[in-house]
Amino acid sequence: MSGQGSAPLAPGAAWPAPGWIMRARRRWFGPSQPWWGFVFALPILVLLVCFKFWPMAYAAWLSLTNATLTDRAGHFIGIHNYARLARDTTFIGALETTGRYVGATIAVSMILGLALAVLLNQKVPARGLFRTLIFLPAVVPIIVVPILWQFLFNPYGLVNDALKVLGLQPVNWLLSPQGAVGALVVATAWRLTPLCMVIYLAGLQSIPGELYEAAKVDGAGAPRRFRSITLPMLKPTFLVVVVFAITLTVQNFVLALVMTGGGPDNASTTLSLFVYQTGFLGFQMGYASAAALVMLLIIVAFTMASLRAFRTEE
Amino acid sequence: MSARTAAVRPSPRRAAARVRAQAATAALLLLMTGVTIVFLMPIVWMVSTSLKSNQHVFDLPIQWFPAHPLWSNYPAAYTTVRFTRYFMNSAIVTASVTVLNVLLSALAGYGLAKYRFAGRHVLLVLILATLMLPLEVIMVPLYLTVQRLGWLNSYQGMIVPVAANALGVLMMRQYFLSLPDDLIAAARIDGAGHVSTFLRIGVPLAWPALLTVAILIFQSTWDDFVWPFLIISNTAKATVPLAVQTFQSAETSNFPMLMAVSSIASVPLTVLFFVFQRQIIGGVATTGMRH
Repeated sequence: MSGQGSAPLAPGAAWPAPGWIMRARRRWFGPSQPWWGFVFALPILVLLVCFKFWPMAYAAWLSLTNATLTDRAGHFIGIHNYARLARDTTFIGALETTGRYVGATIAVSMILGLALAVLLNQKVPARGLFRTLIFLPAVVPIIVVPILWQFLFNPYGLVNDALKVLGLQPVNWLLSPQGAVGALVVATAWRLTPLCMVIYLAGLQSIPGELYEAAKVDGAGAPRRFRSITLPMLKPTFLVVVVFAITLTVQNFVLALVMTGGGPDNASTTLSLFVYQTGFLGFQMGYASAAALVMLLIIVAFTMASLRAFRTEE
Repeated sequence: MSARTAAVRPSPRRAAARVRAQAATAALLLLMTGVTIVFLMPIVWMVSTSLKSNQHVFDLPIQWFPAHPLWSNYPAAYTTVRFTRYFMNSAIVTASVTVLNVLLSALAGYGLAKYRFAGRHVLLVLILATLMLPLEVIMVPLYLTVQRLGWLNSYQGMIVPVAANALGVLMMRQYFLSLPDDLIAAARIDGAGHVSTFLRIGVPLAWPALLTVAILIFQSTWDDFVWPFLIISNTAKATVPLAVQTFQSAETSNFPMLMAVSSIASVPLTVLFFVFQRQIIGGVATTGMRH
């Protein structure tokens, strides 16, 4: 990074402006013409402003109005939408469902993903083949996942067949409140686990092998090595996986929409599905935007919380 | 020397260790096979069901490999859904988004990595902040904006709003940061302009990163369901995921057809994965590192 924009002023050049203007001018219009960097970034900036920042500001405004699909402007009604959310039992239910759904999905995919990563990090022949095959659920199109699992969770489907083989009672998965959320968790975790596994594997491979060698020489067994080397060294990776998994599960409503439609009786309506239903089926754009902002708040809060929880001491 | 003596007359301790190592490897392989079977079972079941007739779908004992596979389910599914049109639509949308996205990301990544203008850090943070903003949060206002533009039921409506992605900028910036400045400085001293330096020095050197960004964007755009679902109601413009969902809501209980349609829809991304496995897995592993 030498030479770019840090060129000194030509000797004897007279700048009749105060220091900060001089510096700003140099950092924009210096001999290496740094302002070109902004020109390069401009096209994407324009698109992001139009289709990210503007909608975000628009959502914040809409959440304070009673806009509908037909009356797009609506009237300013202050925090009425938020007050209504706090009293809306469907919304509170959606919050609870999201909590259970996201919590269970993340727990399953993070633990299973780590187990798989540790397993597939062992030096055995053909482990590359196993890695490829286990990644395949993440390659299945997102729209196919709920269709496939709806079929598997059919009362006479494969999941209940497996339960019967194990001597358990078949469950009416998609038509019982607990079963519907459980089915969503399984379907989501099926697709999320391989993704988590890949991130963990990258983390595991970045741990220096000498650490394990040294621990072995000191007589540490495999469980001890896992607890004292692998887990602490994976701390930054855990953060990555948590944030990745939370963002993906909180926002996703395709699975709930296609598999259960939020039913039975809203038992599997997640927050993002609530936003979709309120906005696009109920046409209440203002109210839906308020719920969407709550969703954003949750994503940001969890991201911040996990950043704090998994911060490495540096 | 020692290896030779060991081969001739293995010491009992070393032989025991080798047997133990082999047993451990065999146990690991067995475990991996078991896990793989569990994970792939839904996919195998999808393909298996797609080759059955509707009245034999729930037959017990389970037939993993149908005795008389109905291969004709596939042409039937293909023509019923009229896949050709939807593959074309998906290809148009995905190709446009990928090209636009790679171009914009490369430009911005180059500008942010190779120029030291005031406020570049603020700009980078602003761009990266959009990563925390999923489509689902802004779908209502984005829909209203696109409606105001008159872009409902249009290709540009599916392309332009999703063409800017901060992830590509981040990856391209990282790559350009790793390129030595001297190359660019040399080209500039030789009198090349800013744009031609970018095109002649930056782009050719960055093609591995460009390829990775292109593959990841292609994959996620082809797979995207939500945005087309919101703005497309005219089946003539529908993409493959939309067509699959439309078929599913019409034919909920025709399981062999449904599974055949799902299998056909899964082919492109599966092929893409097997061709560009390294980029896709590497991409997933590093996109996580974005924070």
